[in-house]
Amino acid sequence: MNNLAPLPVVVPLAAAAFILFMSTVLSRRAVQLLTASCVVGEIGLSGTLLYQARALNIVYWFGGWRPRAGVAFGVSFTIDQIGAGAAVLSGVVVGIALLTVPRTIRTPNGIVHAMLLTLLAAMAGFCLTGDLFNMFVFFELMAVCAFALAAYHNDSAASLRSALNFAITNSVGAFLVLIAIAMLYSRTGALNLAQIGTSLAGRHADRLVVVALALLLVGFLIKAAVMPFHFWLVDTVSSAPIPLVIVLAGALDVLGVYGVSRIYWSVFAGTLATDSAGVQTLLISLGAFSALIAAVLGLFFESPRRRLAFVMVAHTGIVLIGIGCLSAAGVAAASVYAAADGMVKIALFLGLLLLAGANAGRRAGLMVLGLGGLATAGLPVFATGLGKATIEDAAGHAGYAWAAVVVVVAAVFTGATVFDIASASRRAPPDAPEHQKKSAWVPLAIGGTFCLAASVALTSARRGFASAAARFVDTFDYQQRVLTGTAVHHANQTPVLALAPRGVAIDVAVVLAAIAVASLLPALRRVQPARGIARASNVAHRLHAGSIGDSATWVTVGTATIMAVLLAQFR
Amino acid sequence: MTPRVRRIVFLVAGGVFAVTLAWTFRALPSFGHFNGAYGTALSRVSVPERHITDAVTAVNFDYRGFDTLGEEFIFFAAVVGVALILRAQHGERAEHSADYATGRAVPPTSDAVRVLGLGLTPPTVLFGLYIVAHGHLTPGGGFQGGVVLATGVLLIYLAGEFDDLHGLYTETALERSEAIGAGGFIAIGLLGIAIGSALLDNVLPLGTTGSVFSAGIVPLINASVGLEIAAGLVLLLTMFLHQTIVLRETSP
Amino acid sequence: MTILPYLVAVWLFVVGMYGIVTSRNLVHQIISLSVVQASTYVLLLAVGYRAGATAPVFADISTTRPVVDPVVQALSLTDVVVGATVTALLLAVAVQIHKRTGTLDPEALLGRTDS
Repeated sequence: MNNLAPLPVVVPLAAAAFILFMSTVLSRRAVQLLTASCVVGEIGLSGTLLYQARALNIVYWFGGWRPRAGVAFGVSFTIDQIGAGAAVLSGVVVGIALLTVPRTIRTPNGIVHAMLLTLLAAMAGFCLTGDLFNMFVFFELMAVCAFALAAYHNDSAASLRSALNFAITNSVGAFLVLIAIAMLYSRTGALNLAQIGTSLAGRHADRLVVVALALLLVGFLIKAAVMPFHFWLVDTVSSAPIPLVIVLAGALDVLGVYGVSRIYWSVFAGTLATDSAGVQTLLISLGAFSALIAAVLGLFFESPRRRLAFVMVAHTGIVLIGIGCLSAAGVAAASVYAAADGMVKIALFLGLLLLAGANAGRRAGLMVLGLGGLATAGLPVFATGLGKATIEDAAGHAGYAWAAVVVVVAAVFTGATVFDIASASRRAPPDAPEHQKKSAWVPLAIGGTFCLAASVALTSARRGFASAAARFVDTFDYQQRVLTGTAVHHANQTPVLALAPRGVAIDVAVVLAAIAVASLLPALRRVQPARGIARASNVAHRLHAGSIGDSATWVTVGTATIMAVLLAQFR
Repeated sequence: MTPRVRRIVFLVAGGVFAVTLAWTFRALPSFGHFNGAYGTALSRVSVPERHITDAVTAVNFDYRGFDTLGEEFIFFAAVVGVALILRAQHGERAEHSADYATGRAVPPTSDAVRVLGLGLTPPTVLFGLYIVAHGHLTPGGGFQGGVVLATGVLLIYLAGEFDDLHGLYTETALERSEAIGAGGFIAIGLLGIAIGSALLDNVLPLGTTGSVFSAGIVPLINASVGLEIAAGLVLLLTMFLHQTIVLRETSP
Repeated sequence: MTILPYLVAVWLFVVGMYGIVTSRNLVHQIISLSVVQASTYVLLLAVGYRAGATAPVFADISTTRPVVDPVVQALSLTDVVVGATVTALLLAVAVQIHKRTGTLDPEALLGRTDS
């Protein structure tokens, strides 16, 4: 068996335990160095797995328990390129978050470093695993680490309240996932994704299966912070420490959508293949709803971090549209977009951090935000432009051209929001000392540049994304590889991820429109707003005040709606 | 939303949710007639193949041991997280409670409570160790036994004073024990990789069924987990008690 | 009624959520979350039950006797640990909120922002 497979999880966990053990002995610099080398090692391990999985999925059975007669005895890691790629992304994101730790955290004795390492291990485990309950365990491990980090500013009531909101909302999501696991287990007697899928595939999907899908979707979409489950994210991003915000922006959201995709294709695609239009419509509608409303709301708020949180929600909606097309092309497009957009979002937050400093750093921050705005709107040079255009294409091919329009509109507004933040900061007077040590802002500027450069470089990996996506949606291949060890050569078409001239034109038009909207915004703000708009803005502000009861209510509303919609489709 | 509106919206949505879920649950196998292959297969083979008589422990620490590794680190992360959240804020100082109520003698704990508490502690600790050690034979294991062990320590606080408890150990020692417990699980798992098999493979001799020293690595993992849970829970208790008893604000 | 245990799970979930939604005290809200979690234990264990079967411990019985499903019991164990740890974290946050603001009322915490 492939000996590297468990290491992306085991190595960071061991390092976290070691750091805690030596916490009173190691200096801060030693802890930072140890954590950094562990993260680099993790990226190397996941990258190697990514390379090794290029022909066949890697299947690793813990405890040496191989399946007998189609019954999986142990827990498996089923590593394909999308999963390994997501693990690599998680490593990179945590590495960048680590860059900001010395500047923003006065951590006692390496606790924050141990948490970041555990968080990284959990993210890697979530991406690599092939077992549904194992997914739940890593889902919860990610959540616990993130809650604790969200409450880092334990002297700020707003920060603590947002941590509570985060914890309670995500925990309810996790319990819904657990209910779904119980339901699927009762029907199939299995916890391994491939085995559940195989067991369900022979039969027609009845209400038990459909509601299990609905609950799993809700659980993962809460993590992904798609509307109406996004309230916790807006609250947390506003007050959490920067390293956590970077991890949330770069990877944690994406993992929610990854979870949705993974369980759909490995478990439900076989049994729902003939009725997939219902799931398509649901996912695309949710994504479009999120993308449009969040993009518009970003314009109504004042705090830069809060507005970027809405940009995050909107873009996750766009990724969900891509996945919701339920095709290889859609998955390929969504993956490229998600990876590139994650990098861009991190750059935006680094830009905000730079803007809080002094003059040289501020100039760097403005540049990062400006370029970030172009990337957010989807300039074709960036992989976000490629991803956006191909998501629009996939939606069009699936028969949802209206969703493509929504993507375009959302990109205009999110791009405008970023440009507006940049220009508002430029007009505001600096409030930091004239001269600031280079070491304060240079690493952040380098980080921001790296992220923007990465989002450009990802365009060159488009063929990799396409072939990875083709294998990802091949349910039968996945199941066979896990349960029997054989590989089935799929005859599916590998989608082509390319920017057609029409896509380029739309992208450029979007960028220009975003700049235009952003330049109009200051003038629009001076004008007395129409009564309706003012009232809508008030309502939006009140809804996002951070009430936990509200959040829980919206989760209930969303769950009931999704359950009802799916059941209606499958009558 | 105002509280009233929220309640109404929730009652509607919650009602739909409850009714739909209840209707869906009618499609579950009827209560008492579950026939999943996984559980039955594991019950059949856990004794012959692994010499473990408690099938639940077999599932937790052998067949699905990797899940338990994740679970152990969830506990680890939570204890570390509580340490992060409850760390002293700016403007707080650890103060001995004795100098707060000056001019008034604090009544000592009654003798009956002291005797009972201190008398119960050794049996509780012994019982905890018993549960940890026999996890693969009878219901129990590292998690359950660890909690009982922590309760034994809590009895000392209940019987006496927080200072007595604090004199027994330092927080650093607890953190280190917890780290050893957590890291120990990984180290035992790595034995499997060391001999060329998979992580968490049961590579030690299986012994005779029914003896404490059987089932390969399972008793070792139980011990490791028991150490971690006990240390972690005592640390949690100490941190919470520290908040209410020791920390005083020095500035308003 | 053979689906009574499952209905108990639904009831616990909904009642716990009601507690979270309408609560005026953070500690009450956190305990309501535990109630929601209790519904998952009930569901898991109810799913695995077999009529006429005994506990899956073979220390004193033959391995051919029917036993209830051990897998869901193992899952519940994990669930309990996860729940206890999340509760501990949340209570720690509640302690800090009380120290900082003097109140445990979620309504009193609304609208405060850092930025």
